[in-house]
Parts: sequence; structure tokens; C-alpha cells
Amino acid sequence: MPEFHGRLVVLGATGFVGSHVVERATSAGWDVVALSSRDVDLAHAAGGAALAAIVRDGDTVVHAAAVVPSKNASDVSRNLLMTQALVDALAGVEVAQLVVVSSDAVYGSESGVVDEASPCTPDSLHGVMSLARELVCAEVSTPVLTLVRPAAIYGFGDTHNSYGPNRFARQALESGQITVFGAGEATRDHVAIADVADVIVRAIASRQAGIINVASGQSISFADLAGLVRDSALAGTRVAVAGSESSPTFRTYDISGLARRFPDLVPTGPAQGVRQMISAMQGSAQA
Amino acid sequence: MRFAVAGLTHLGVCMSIAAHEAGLDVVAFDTDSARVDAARRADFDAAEPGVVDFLRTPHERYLVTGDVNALADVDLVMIAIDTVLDENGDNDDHEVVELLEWLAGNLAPDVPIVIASQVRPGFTREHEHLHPALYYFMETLIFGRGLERAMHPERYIVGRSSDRQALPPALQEYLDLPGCPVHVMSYESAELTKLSANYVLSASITAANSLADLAQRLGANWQDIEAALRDDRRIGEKAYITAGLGIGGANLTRDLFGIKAMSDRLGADSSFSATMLEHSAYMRDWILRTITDVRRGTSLDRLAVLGLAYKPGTQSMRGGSGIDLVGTFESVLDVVVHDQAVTMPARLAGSRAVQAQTAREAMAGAQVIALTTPWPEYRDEVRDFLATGPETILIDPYRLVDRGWALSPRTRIIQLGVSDA
Repeated sequence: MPEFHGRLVVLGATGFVGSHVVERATSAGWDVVALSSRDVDLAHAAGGAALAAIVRDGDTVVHAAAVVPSKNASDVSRNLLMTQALVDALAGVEVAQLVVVSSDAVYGSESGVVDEASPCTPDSLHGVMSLARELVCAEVSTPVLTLVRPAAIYGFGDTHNSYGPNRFARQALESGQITVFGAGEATRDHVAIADVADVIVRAIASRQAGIINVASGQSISFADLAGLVRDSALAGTRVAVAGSESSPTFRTYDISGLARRFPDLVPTGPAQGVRQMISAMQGSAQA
Repeated sequence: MRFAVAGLTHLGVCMSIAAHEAGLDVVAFDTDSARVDAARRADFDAAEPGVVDFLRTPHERYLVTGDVNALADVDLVMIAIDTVLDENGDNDDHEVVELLEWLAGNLAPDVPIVIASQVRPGFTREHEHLHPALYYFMETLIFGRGLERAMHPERYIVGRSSDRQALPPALQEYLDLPGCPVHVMSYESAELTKLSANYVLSASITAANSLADLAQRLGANWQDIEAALRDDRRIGEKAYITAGLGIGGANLTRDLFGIKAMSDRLGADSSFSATMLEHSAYMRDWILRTITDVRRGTSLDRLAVLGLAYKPGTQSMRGGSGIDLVGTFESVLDVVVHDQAVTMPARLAGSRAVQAQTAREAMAGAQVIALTTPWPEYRDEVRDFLATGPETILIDPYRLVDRGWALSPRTRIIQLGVSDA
């Protein structure tokens, strides 16, 4: 495990990404202060003051607190106000590093290959929020600002039910039937939660600044993804087609930037990642 | 005619020798005494055939000098100092300006000065007030073929202040020497012609690279397609359509940046320039992407890198993919390097990169071999090695290797633009 000698403050510590970062950092023996909205509620005025009382000069802060996905203006505002509260709370200190857990939604949803040099052209409220959240964080006084932009995250413990590996797996285990829209031709990159947490922890240990896209580098169509889930689930699981898929888009990640930063990291491909997630879900169902 | 070349770098030395060989009295001049001394000692890049031999031999009508008096009776002066790229890809032209100011102050106003240095469009117009007879001359030399290109130009392109300005007789005489076509145009057109040629070549390379990337994923073979396209007369056998790791060559990239910056300043759409630069960066990472893919199925702890030079025949590593791979992986893998000409620079503590004496030694035991410089010598080395049936993955972006050499199913060859199947 990578070494780290400072103190790590994680906001959003009980969320999907935050909890994995906390677990990984803690098991590496790092000094971690895990804060959830119950400890520090950035959406309320007292939250900022509470945070300011906790964070000290030289701390490393991970900002994983967010309402995701942002589906409406209220969600967007809430996320931005929470982030502003964070920035205000950090106004009096110099943190060693600020890691913002953002989203690949900043790149928009057009077809094409995405890398860290791709322009930000968000076309969803979630994308606009994510980009605005990054820009708000740029006001924090720190020598190392790290913007982590994961592709669609999946894995055991994900509470979101968005169209993708987690929903397919849940459907397979609960009803034995996975539902795909139309031909399911659209391709996406799905990244395993373990890889996202791994990259964040490594980025802290080696104080990596700038934009880091986290993706598997292996895009897959929804139809093939459903097939992977079916093959990993119980025998007899079926893939059903419902409705239609309107103008599918095809997105691929060029992850050479990730390879350059972390040359010994080989991201989990969808076949392996889906297998691992399903066996974890099956294990937890039996327990 | 007495012809002076000012600025004794690669361009100036080649142009001066070519002028001598065409029968002119030549003054090879520089205000920098170190460059004058170097030319006198024949201290010149040995990779430029013919130059050192010429400089070593005394010639009655070829004078290397830093003495201003030698310019007293010249008929024509060419400024031919090579300009240096700065880190933004911009030209540092201060030496050209200084030389021009110096010459303008020391020459009679009617002696034509021709700027052959690589300057950005607009440069000659901005400086025409310095000398009444100022012209621009587009150089087309290539490193390693400089003298040959200077002696046998395919065409001359000359810029003048206005259409009404007749070329001075000495310049006309010089341009007529090789008997090639001569295109006379405005300063701006001539300066832009140089960038335009490189731009069109970059566009061809980008097209080939885009299609090769697609072909490899589609199950096609770009090499077959390329050969067929060359027989299309509209494309031609000399077209720049060999797929590679981006737009190689600092000059092409420099001119893309130049055109983009100019377009942006003047309000012309620059998206095509940006796209070519972006795609070039994407192709430069082809080996890295390939290695990442390979590592999902193969455990990798020993990587062989064959080639540090950015291209065969040079000792320069600038922009080369070999040294890039070493830098990326040396902290986590055993990286065994070989090059035909380059010695790997000293590594920092913790590096696991070492240089092997032979290519064979570098390849032995490596799970992945990256053929990063297509030195022709590697063909035999790799063929002999593959004949031993090694369990290895050979990454060959330049398609140096014949796929038929892999005698064992344990050997896998991955080539840019070629389907693996």
C-alpha cells in the first residue's frame, strides 16, 4: 500500500466513493478523519464552521460530498452551496492537497474518445454542476489541486440504480431477468469502484495534481454488458429487450494519461469487474 | 557573381556549398566567430553527406570568413541561419533580426538581401524598412539530405514586397541557376507556402493514422490499403500516408502550431489544426495503450525497449517513444533497453532500466518487446529471435517485422494499423 504521513480528511465519507477511500486509507494505516453529513452538514450554515474547526494546515482533503446525480436545479444549487461552504471553511488554512471527486459528465455525452485534454462541454445538469463544483474548488488555497473524473462507477454497495452494471446485476439476482433498452448498442466505459478508490489513494500518496480521468479503458455496449452479467449470474438468467434505444452514442476512454501517472495500475476490465461484483452480491445475499 | 551566405548553421553551410558547386564565387560568412571556426575546421554533423568532405578541401572560390570586408563587393546576400524553436513551438528569430540589422548597416542599399531562415509569416514585411532590397526565399532542406536538396531543388519560391517590384538581376541569375520552376509572389504568400506544404503533409499523415487506427479495430490491414492508395494518381506514390505514432518531426508540428496561432489571431477557423494536433498526441500514446491492454491478460515484469533514437540514423531522442516508455515504466518494471546508436542517459535512483549490449540480450526473457525505433538492423535480430519460438508479445508500431516470422503460437505480434486476427 502507498505511504502517506499527513492527515486525511474525507468529506462524504459514507458515500459510495468516500467510504471506499476511507476503507482503503484506513487499512493502509493512514491517519483518516472520516466526515459524513451527520458529522458536518455542509448544506447548513453550522456545517462550514464545524469543518473549519476540524481542518488544519497541512491536511489533505478529499471532497466526495455530493448529491448525485444532480437531476434538477435544486440538486445543482445544493451541491454548489455545499462546495462553497467547503471553500469558505478552508479559507483560513493551507491544505497540502485537495482532491475533488468530480465526474466525467463534464465532458458531455457525445460519441468519441475522451482523455484529459478533451474540452469540457457538459450537456446535463449533472455535468454543469460537476464542472462548476471543480471551478469553485479552484479557489481553495493549496499547492496541489487534484480533479478526479471517474467514468460511470459500479461495484458492490452502489445504492444508485442507474442503467448499467449495478442495475443489471440487481435485476439478474432479484428476478432472473435483465432488461436492455432496444439493441443496447451504445458503448460506455464502466469503472470499478475499487479502481476509483485506488487511484484517489495513489494520487494522495504521490501528490498528483491536475485532471485524472479514471476509466477501465475498455468500453462495452449495454447489450454485451448485459451478457456479461447474465453469464456471471445464476444459470437461467435471461436478457429481455424493452422499448427502444434512441440514437445510441459511443464513448471510449484513452487511459494513457492514467498509465503515465500510475504505471503499475491496470484498471479492471468489465468482464472481471462484473464477475467480482456479482460474487460479492451473492455472498452478501447468502450471509 | 559573388554570392554571400550569412549564418553558418546547417542551412547556411548547405546553401553555400550548393552555390559554389553551381559555379558562383561564395563568401560563407558569420558574425559569430565560433561558427566561422567550426566551418573552417569542417566541424559539422557527420549525418549530412558531402558537407564535411567539402569543408575539409580547400576551394579557391569558397571563402569562410567573419571579416566584414569580404562582403564589400558581393552581388547578393542570403541570410541562412537556422532559427531555434522555443518550448511553445514558436520560432526564436532574434538572431535573424540581428544579422539583418547588421548586414543592412554594412551593405550598400542596392545589394539584395534574401532571408532564407525559417521565419513566421509577416516577418519579412515587418522588417522591410531595414533594407530597400529585401526578399524572402523558402528553404526546403531536410536533415540528412540537406546538400542534395540544396543542389537539386524541385522549385524555388521567392517573396517580394510588391508585384511591381522587379527582381534584381543578381537574384534572378541565382534563381535561374538550377533550371527549376521559380514561383515569385508576395512576402506573405511565400512565407505561408512553406507552412502550407507542411500543413498538407500533416493532413495526409493524420488521415493515414486515423484510418490505420480504425483498420486495426475493424479487422483490416492499413498496409494493404496504403499500397492500393499509392496507385491512385490523385494520391500518388510519394504521399505521406504511412501510419505512425503521430505527426513525427518537430517541423511539421511547429508549423501546425504556427498556422493555428495565426488563424486564431486573424479570425480564421483553426479547428482542423487543433484536431490534427490532438490526434497526433493520441497516436503518440499508441504503444502505451497497447501495453495497458496487453497487461490485462499477461503479467508483465520485464519490458524490452528496442530503440531510443526518435528515428533511425540519428542520435537524438527528442520526442522518441523509446525514452518515453523508459520514463513511464522504469519505476515499476525491469526495462531493458537497446539502441543502435544512443546510450541511455543516466537514470535516477530507483530506476529499473538498464541498457543491454545487444538487441538479443534485451529481448531475452521479456514478456513484452516494444520496437520503438525501426532501425533496419532490428529486422534480422528480431527474425532470429522469433525463430526460437519465444513466449512474448512484440509491439511493432512501424511494421518492421513480418508476421510470418512468428513460428510459435506463443508469440504474438501487434502492429499499428494491422488487425491482430
